Parts: sequence; structure tokens; C-alpha cells
Amino acid sequence: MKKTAIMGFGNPVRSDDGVGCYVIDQLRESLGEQPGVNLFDMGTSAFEVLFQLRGHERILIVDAVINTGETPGTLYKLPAHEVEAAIQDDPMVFLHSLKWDQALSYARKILLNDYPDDIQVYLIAVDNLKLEVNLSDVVKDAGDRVVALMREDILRTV
Amino acid sequence: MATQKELNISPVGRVEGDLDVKVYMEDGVVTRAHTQAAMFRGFEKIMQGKDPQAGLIVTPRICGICGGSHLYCASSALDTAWKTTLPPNALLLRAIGQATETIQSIPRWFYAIFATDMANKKFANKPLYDEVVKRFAAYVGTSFQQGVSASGRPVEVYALFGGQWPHSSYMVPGGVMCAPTLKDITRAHAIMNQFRKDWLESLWLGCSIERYMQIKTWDDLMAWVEENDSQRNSDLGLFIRASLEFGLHKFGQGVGKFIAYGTYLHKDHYQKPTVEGRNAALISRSGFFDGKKYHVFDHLSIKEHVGHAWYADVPAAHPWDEPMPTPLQSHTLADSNFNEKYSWSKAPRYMDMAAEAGPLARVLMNANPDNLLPHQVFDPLFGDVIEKLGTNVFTRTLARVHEAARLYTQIDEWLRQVDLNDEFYIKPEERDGKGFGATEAARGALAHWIEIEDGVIKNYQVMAPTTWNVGPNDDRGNPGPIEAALEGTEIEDPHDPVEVGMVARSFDSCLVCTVHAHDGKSGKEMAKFKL
Repeated sequence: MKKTAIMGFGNPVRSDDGVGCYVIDQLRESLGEQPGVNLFDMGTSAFEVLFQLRGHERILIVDAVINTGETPGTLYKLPAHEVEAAIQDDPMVFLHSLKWDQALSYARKILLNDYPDDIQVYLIAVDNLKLEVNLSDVVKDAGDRVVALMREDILRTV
Repeated sequence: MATQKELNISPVGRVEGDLDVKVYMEDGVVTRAHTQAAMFRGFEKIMQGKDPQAGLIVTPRICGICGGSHLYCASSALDTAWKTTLPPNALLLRAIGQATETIQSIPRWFYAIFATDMANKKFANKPLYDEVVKRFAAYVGTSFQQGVSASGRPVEVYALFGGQWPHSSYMVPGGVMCAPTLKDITRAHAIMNQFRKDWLESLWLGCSIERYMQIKTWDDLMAWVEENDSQRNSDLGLFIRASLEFGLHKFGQGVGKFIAYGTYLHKDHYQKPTVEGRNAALISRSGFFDGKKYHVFDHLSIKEHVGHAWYADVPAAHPWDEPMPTPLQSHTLADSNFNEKYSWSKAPRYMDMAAEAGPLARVLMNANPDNLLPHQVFDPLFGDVIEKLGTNVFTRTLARVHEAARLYTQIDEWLRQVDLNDEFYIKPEERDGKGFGATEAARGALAHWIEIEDGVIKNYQVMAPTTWNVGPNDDRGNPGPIEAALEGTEIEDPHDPVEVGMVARSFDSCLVCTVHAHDGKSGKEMAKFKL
């Protein structure tokens, strides 16, 4: 089986933005320690992707997504190259506003042959980013769906 | 007839919360500027009524870049409120955490954010341009990759003690929640050494840290650049030469007043944490510099103005006295009325003056010859630099990168001072009261204020360094530091206003990492990927 990293992004103090971290928490409980699988609560870091990618052949990412025009809780799964973003496209990017999609394009340039080409991204549509520490029910359900899908995926390949 | 122009600079289609800038130009020169930002405020609401220690868990989540700095503040605020006792080891390990977070930010910010602008076509006719592009161009620059890769090392040290980076909660009132072994300390030394060999001395300085630390004046620095090829052609040598050639010392002045809260509380001078005893316990000093003289820092001289922020009007107040804010309707840059409210950022003022926070403020405080205690840093370099060159994009950036060498030696020294047989935590007693915790995050002065009543949080205020820098006009119409720094900037190409970006980026604002959601609009057609 390919050595796998599962990374959840988001901010648990911004309501539904925290769903990525929730998925990692749930996986920790339901999967436990699996050989060849590392779970990362990435929080709001972005650059760290570059350093955590190393040594893995397969990456699963989960994050919230806004501006999709769909109802909250809508679930997407797509290969990372669909969302990779070049930093030059944004003249006003700061260290804080860097996101993992931009960090991935850095990583591809920096890791070259070590860049894992198997990166799948789960995105959950959200629109409530208020300063609160709870997930809404629809987003939590979508998070649970991602947990189930990832769990199935891992247990099938182990 | 002067040509007048307005320019809206706004990252298109992003989440609320980036820095948007409106500049007014006359004949290609900025005459006035407004910064519009969605800063992280509203913490008060989350924290109210919660356990006093909630800040230790919640505030490091504010940010994926300076979570350690928030933790430093949150634990310190509780130390002063609960009147804890801190063992020397705890102060050392907190300082190591803060310093590793700050030092990692230096190459990361310089290569990933700042230096890429020096490769902009605006400078294509300059003699050093080709060399700058070869080294600093985004992705493909030879130093870019090494610098960005090296930046990952120092926070590995943070993770040894903190368990993870970012978002750790290992600093707690009464000390730290870890008990490192000799193996951890040895490993930390090895990681830092690698950082020194891979980047700091080899690529960045082109000389030993000891040699670089001998520089005391602007002339010393210029002599250092020309001393030999290794220093001349180091990334720092190139950055200095190219900055002067490209004219980065000619714009981005700002308000000329500086605030630093100072940081790194000394292991032997802060075992009984109090707000009053803090200034004297600092290693990197606090202060307010009004452009002519230094003032002793007193947090009670801070007030926040909301006249131009999207909150219901209240008189300017100190964070302990601020009422729960009432948010009002916000507007886009194009629809904002700049005579009224136009930003989510409040406008902090010190003794009623706007002040710049950040590395430049820090190194200026370290140049203050007065009230110096034996354990405190004295480094006269930037007193001289500011006198000779003033404040600008170049000196602001130079200040930030100047810190790397000293931080390295401090981390090394603190690691050696940890006494593995001594304690790391002394259990405190909870009590009601007020607390103040502060530090210097990589980007400058950061503070948390807490008030505890009946065993729960009554008021919790977080003021980030960027609030100082990116804030709007105050109630008397005086601009904030970035607004002021943009004035007088010559913009060569309104379609690519790189100068505005350089000024704003020289402050390295922290704005949006509080919301991390991916933006569907920036991806391709997403509908076909629905599950």
C-alpha cells in the first residue's frame, strides 16, 4: 500500500470552516493507528503542506469550500491539480493569505520527483464562517460522509 | 493640469479579509491612501462566559503563522491574573518557542513574499536585476527553494517541546506542559545547526554569525558588504546592494513612530509574573519611540478608535474597558465612503498617536541606550540606520532579516540553560482578576487582555500587530501606518502597481489565515466533481 497522509485544513473557531479538523479528529477515533497512514490536523497553516508531503506517496486533503453557489454540505472530490494555484496570479498574497492550493504549486516546484502525484481533495461547501466553535448539522453530516469514505478507502487498501 | 487618478487594488474573488487598498494619485504619485481590512475581531463573543483557560486552546487557532505568539500571550495573561510562579525552565521553553516561530518566518517571508517583487519587470533596466531574478524569482530562483525549504527547520524545534506546530497549547499558566529529555535538547541543537549550515551562514550571511554580530553602524554594514566576495554575494549582500540600486530606500516611510511590547521574559527575572514587573524582565525591550525620543512602555496608554471601523460608535477606550462591539454593515472597496466607516480593523493609538509595530520597532528599542539592564539586548545599529536612511521599504525589511543572527544565538544559549533536573510547571491557584500578556510576534506587538469574574471570562481582547499597521484613520482623521507609508509613493505602471504591494508587504500584514476555506471561484468548474 502507498504511504498515505491525510490532512485536514480549517479553523475550528470559525464555525463550519473547521470541518477539515473535525474529520481528522473523527478519523483518529475510528481508525486509530494504521501502519503507513499519518493523520495531520493542519489547522490554518498552508506552507506546512510542503514539509508534511515528504515521504508520502498518496495524500488525501479535506477542507471547506466557499463560493460554490451550492448549498452548504455539498461534497466534492477532485484531484489536486484541478485546484492548484500559482502565487503569481495574486499580486497581494501575504504569508497569512497563502493557502494549501498555492503551497501545493510551491511543493511541486521544490520537491520535483518527490512530489506525490496522487493527491485527492475532498471539499465541503460551507457558508457560515462566524466566530463560533460549532459546526452546523448539514456540514457535520458531510464531514461524517468524508470520514466514512476515507475510512473505507484506507481499510480497503491496507 | 495635473492628472488625477484613483486606483482600487483588491484581490479579486477572495474570501473577505484580505487587505484592500484605495490610492489617490496625482501625476503618478500617491497623495492619499486608505486601507480596508477584515481583521480578526469578535473574539470577545467566543470567549465570554468560558473557562479562563479557553484562551490557551482557542487563541493559537487564530493563526497558522503565529499561533505560538498567541499562546505566549494567552499563558502570560493568565500568569498575571492568577499570580502564578514560573520556574526558570518554563520561561526558557516559552522563549525558545517564540524565537523558533519568529526565526522560521524570516526566510519564509523574505523569499516567498518579499523578494519575488524585486524580480518584477519594473527593475529590469537595473544592473543587478539579472542576478536578483536568478536567485529570488518565485519558484525557480536558486535561493528561493533553499530558503523556503530551510524555513521548515526551526519549527521542528518548536514541535519537539510543543508537540506540534502550529496550534500547540503547551504553554500554560504556571509553566509549560512538557518535560524534555537530554535527547530532545540534543536534537534541537542539531536541527538549529542544520538551519545555520543550510541557510543562515552559507546562503544568507556568507560569513559566521559572530562576524555579522560585530556590525554596529550603517557604515559597518556597508563595509561588511564590501569586505569580501562571500559577503558581497551572499543573499543579504545582494539584497542590500539591489535595494539601494532599485531605490527601495526611497519610499514607504510611514508614521515615523514605533511601538514594541518586547518579548523573551528572562528566566531569572519573571518568576513572579506581574504587569508592572514585565518591562524590566524583558530580554528584547519594549518601548514607544516618537521619532525623537524613547518612552517607557505602559499598556494603559493604548486606546482603540472605532470612528472609521464598521462598529457602532463608542469613545476610544483601553481594551479592558472596551464594550462588546456592535458590528455594522460593511461595504466593498468601490462602495465605501472613506469619510465614514471603511474597515473591519479598529485603529489603535498609543498616547493618541498612530505607531508602527514590527521588527523595525523592535530593533529600534534595542538601540535605546537608556534604562538598560544587564540581561537586555543592546544593539545600536538601527538607531544609526534610521538616522541616516530613515524609515522605508528597505530599512523595514532589513530590520526583519537582521534579527535572524541574534535569534539563532539566543535559541542556542537558552537550550543550553535548560536544567533537566528542575521543574517545568508549578500548579497555580485560579482566581478572579485582570491579566495582560504580550509578546513580539514575527510581525510585531501582540497582546491579550483578560478579565475573569466568578471563575469565567468576562472580557477577552486580542490585539494583533497588524491592527496597529493596517488600521484606518483614527477619530481625528489621522492615517494608520500603512496608509501613511503609501503617501508619496511613485507608481510607474497603474496596471501593475508593484510599489503598493512592496510597501504593504514590507509590513507583512496578517489578515486572513483565520478563515481557511478553499475558494470555489478560484478553482476550475467544480460542478462535475460533486459526489
